[in-house]
Amino acid sequence: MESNYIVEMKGISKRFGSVQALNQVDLELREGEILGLVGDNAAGKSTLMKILSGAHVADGGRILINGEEVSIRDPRDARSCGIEMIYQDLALCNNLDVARNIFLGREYTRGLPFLSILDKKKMYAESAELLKRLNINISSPRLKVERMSGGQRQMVAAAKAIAFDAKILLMDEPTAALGVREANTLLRLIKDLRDGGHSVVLITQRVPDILAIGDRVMVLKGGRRQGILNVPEVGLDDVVELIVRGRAGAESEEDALEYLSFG
Amino acid sequence: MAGNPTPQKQPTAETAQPAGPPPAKWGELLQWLIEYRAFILLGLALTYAVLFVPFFATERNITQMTTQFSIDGIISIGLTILMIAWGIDLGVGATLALAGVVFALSQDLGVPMAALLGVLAGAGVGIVNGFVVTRMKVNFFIATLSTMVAVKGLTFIISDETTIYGHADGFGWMGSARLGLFEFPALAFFGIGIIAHLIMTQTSLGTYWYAIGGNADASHRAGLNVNRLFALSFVVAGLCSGIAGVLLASRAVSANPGVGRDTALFAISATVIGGTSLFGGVGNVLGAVAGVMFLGVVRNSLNLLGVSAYWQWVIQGVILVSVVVSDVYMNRRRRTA
Repeated sequence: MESNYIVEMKGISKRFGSVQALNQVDLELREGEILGLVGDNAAGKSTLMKILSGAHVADGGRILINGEEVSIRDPRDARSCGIEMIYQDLALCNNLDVARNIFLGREYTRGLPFLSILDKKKMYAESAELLKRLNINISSPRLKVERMSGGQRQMVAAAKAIAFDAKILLMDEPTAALGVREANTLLRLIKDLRDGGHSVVLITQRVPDILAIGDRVMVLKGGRRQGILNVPEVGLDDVVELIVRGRAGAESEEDALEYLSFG
Repeated sequence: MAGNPTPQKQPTAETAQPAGPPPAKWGELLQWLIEYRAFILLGLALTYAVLFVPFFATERNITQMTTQFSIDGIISIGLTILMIAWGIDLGVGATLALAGVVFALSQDLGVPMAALLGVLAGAGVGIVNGFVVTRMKVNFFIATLSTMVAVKGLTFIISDETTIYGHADGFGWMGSARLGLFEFPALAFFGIGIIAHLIMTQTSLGTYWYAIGGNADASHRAGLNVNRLFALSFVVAGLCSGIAGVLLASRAVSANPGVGRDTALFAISATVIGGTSLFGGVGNVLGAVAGVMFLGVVRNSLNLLGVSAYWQWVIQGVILVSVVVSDVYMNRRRRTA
């Protein structure tokens, strides 16, 4: 039964000083699905994903990959579990070119282990191949990232994440800074990745994005899980209600209206 | 973009490859001039010196001049790597003096061993700097300024405040051995320059130094050990200072604990002229080599023209300020692009 899930997080808690960012949160990600992770600001979405990607270490809880318990203490551990995170602020080195960004920390090399010579030819060829396969509109892997648009940078970040066959992609607000057209291109890319067998957790404030391409959506509020909904069975209102009121339904009607008009 | 019916509307990668705000023509030109400034300046200075400075283009002068700028130039190469990784070392002059004194004090162990110890003393200072900056989280200006003072004190203590003369066989060999037009320090400078250039452009280590200087956060998330890489760049700067210190002592056949007062100014100026940014992540070793040669030619020409040392300081200061201003300008362009 458990092996249905590629990722299970059980009872994850995290505290920053006096703030309980996450309180006994569970998450299950199925293989080959897009799981939306939604919630208001400070709901704990990013913190939860940073724990899965090794950027933070949880105070308590367990993580299972394919039913086996793993210990994720840093980004390298996460990577060896096939997990890649694409950050809101991109985590690209603007002073490096596309290929060097994609391969950063995992360069093709020959020669000595420490003073290893870069196999640039292979890196550029594979980067170009990858950009083409993902339909990413960047003319050359030799371009420096500092000369690119926001959308192009998101695409590079996505390419970087899947370059090494990461099976599990965590994306933090990938469309937040993009125009409508670029956002749609990126959503299409995410969908293609899902269809290619990747499992995706998509953090977003734009609930309609999730309803358009997601399979399930999980709602966090105040560091607690409010529920997981099947996308085909719910509408925008259901999700927003859960985001604003939570399970208990404590807050006022106006908040919900406000959020609806915003989303 | 596949399947999108109107892909021409917005400037995408194919149409607007160098995206960002489209700069005016003269802006592009200015950027190009600034990027290759060291080579342009070197060309101008050389042309002027050859044509108008008496005795410049003589064999004797070329040999002396190259040896002179090479010793500080080796330090520039180390600083270039350190500054690409977004650090700086203000104490390179003190390290230079320490390495020379250690070399001279241990000369009875044999010159090769003594030279090794001198170089290691320099690397040791780099290790201390790296440790203080990455483990104790001290700002690198403060850290290297503090170690500079400590190293200076230590140098005077172990040398007993006096110049130590070289008496061992072959003490002066490294500083004066000659191959054709060039002496050993110049050959070492060009050799180290080529090695450093290859490391920075052809190896993963070089890429990592660029990466941590460009975005330390992203580098950490990519799994790089940012602290260790940063500390290592301080060791490189210390190592280069150590090599320079040994060469200088060998050349003078003596180690003076008080040398190196102007070293940091010269080395940092040459590095920045060479296109290395004070804001990290940007720079290249070949540019630094050209920057060193440019400053060397200027200093040598001013000497030959009989310009006083004080005016030379003024001129060097003015050059440094104008280069820093252009660096700040370039950095603003990069950040807004």
